[in-house]
Amino acid sequence: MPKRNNVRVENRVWNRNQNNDNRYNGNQFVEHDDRAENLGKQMIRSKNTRRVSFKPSGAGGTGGRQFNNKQKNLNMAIKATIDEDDDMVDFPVGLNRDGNYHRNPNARFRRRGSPIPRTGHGPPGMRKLISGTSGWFLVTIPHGQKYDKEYVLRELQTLVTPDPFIPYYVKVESSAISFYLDDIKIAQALLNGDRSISLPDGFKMMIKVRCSIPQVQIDANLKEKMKLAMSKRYTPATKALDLTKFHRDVDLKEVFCGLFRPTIMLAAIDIIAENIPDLEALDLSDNKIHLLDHFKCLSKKLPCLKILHMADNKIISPNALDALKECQLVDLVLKGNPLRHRIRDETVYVSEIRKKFPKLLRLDFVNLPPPMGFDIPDEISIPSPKASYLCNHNGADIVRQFLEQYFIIFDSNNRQPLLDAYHEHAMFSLTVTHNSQQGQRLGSYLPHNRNIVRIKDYDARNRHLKCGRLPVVSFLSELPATQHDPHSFAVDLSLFTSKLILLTVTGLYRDKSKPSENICSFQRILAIVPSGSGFCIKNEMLHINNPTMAQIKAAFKSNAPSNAAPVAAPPTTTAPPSMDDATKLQMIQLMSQRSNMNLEWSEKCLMETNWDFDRAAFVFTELNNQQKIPPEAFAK
Amino acid sequence: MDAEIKSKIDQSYRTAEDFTKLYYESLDKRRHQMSRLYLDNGLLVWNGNEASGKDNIQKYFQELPSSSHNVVTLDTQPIIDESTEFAPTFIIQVSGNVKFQENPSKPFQQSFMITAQGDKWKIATDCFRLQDALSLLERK
Repeated sequence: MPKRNNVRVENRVWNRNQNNDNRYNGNQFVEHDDRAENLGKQMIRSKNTRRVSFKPSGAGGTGGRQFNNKQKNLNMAIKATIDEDDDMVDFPVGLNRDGNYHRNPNARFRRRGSPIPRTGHGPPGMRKLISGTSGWFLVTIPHGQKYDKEYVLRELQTLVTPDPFIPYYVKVESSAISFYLDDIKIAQALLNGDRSISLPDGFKMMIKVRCSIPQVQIDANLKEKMKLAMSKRYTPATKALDLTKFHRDVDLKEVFCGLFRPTIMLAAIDIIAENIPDLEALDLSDNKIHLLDHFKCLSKKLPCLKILHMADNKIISPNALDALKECQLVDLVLKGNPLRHRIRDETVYVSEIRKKFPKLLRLDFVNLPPPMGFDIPDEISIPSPKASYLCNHNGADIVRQFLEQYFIIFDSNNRQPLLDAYHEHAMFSLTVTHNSQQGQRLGSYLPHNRNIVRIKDYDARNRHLKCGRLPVVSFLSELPATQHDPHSFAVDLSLFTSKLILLTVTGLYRDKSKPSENICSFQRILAIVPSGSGFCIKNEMLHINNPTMAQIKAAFKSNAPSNAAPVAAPPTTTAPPSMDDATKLQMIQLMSQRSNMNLEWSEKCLMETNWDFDRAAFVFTELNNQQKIPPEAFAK
Repeated sequence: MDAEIKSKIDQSYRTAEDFTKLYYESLDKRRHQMSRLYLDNGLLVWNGNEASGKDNIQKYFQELPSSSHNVVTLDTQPIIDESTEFAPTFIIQVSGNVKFQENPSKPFQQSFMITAQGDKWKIATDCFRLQDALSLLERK
């Protein structure tokens, strides 16, 4: 949306019909009252003060409407002050002097349409530029295209000598030459020189100056240039990046890369986060930065940032710094910002800034005295987690064997052997935390979710409770194929008596029915009772949840044997005479583990020795010594 | 379904709902009364750390940072066995999110075994796990 800047220089009152230049139609010429919010306070004082009013103007029947317009304009003016992220910031400054009517086809509208008599304006030297929030000015030389560009620029240079004249992004257009300036002093000097230079064809050179921000498109090309410019400004030793006066970087001559513009700043932050995620010091001094809202992401993107220098920018309010609160800054520089003038008292200033950044040790290059505090720690840490807890160490072997056997069968293609693991009157139920934001990872479990927070009907709750060995195992058989990660297991044995064992297992598994996004987090609670010579499950509750990012990263990654999870220890039993699939699978895995062969060849080896583990191990050792085992047997 | 079993299951629902509400309200807001929820020889296993006996459990909770729990799922079953013949016993499983002090909230799972003692339900075992505590540990 086009937006209005707050700079009014002339006392001329613009009316919406009075577009003086077609290029700027429709995005300027608000009525006068926005000046109340403007920086041009002195203009208001010296000129049309009576127009600064929040009351509806009493001008005839249109009063109400004017009021609305005024309100709107005022709002927009306020918005403009707050939100300067638009390129078309165009308030004319010193345009359309009377003597130029013949050269400006639109000027005649003004004469006809203006309801308010012009109160006249001073000679060129009296017109004063007021710096907008951006601090950038667009200079236009109407009809300048008729002359040599270098010649025009040379002539302009004479107006500002001895100050340096640095025109940015010079453009020769169909009816004018235009360029940008970032220095109000130079811009003022040029404005004062309006129609003072005689051109070869007898005309006087017109010079128009107004507040405007150069436009730029953020694309891959620009990002590449920014990256290049940044890389030479980075000091790896101190992890410091100096982006002082970034737009003046020689590598960015062609494009306008002003960091005060949120989109550019965000692009810069992204580039830094991508390339120097551990950046500790950032210097953003002298970049005309006035908005900070978009800096909120800084603490997340650059978590190590401790030193931030923002001297000589245009930060007006200390409250704007709230956007940086999450950054753990120890060194901050704000000098040269307008906010410094707002708080005259040094002590108030320091305490105000410190409130926002409690860890601050240095402000504006001055070391701060240590802050006073209270003898209660800010943060209490939680006890560090342990992978397993056994209320009774005699239970360790039973738990280990039980879990080992259980998950080997559960992860196999056939869960029917689990019939032996469940009590005749076993109970089983399942709960799922479903978060639609995380996709359909757990969708297949949802129809069986017995979450009594959600399901209030007793019959429905009872339906989701599987009772009896057969219903439980047939239900388990229908759940997606899985592969559990024993290294992820947290095992808590919280009750171990001769009659009842209570065991909780928390960990990760992979849903083998899905090609991706298949890591799931689970917790099982098992109430185990003695049965014959062994044990069986009397009650089981299974909870399934989406994994956290940390879990996804850690899943199936651990190479070192987990020292705590009792289930991870290798089995020591040899195969019994008659074997089911689960036992075979267990042997294959053990064989693979001992021999370092892959599962396929381990199985082959065991099959050829009629599932005699010791013999298979012997044969393997023999053949391996003779180097008769092909390399593909070890390919995994 | 056996009528007796059904009545125990029905009883477990109300008990589990009331229990979790009381438990997390106490833990988050009235932590000083936590020990009253446990058997004298009750057991708390908190991320693998043990606190045994109601006094130790009370002490353990007092030293944890302030918390705010949000229960998302709840499930319960009665343990019907000769070992629980004279004292009705339920197991309860809770999952949800917990926020410690001003830290971001994290998923947790918790399992309880509660048992009747006179006219009061008491926690025999309480087993708490932050879902990704071990994964975070492994990365360090």
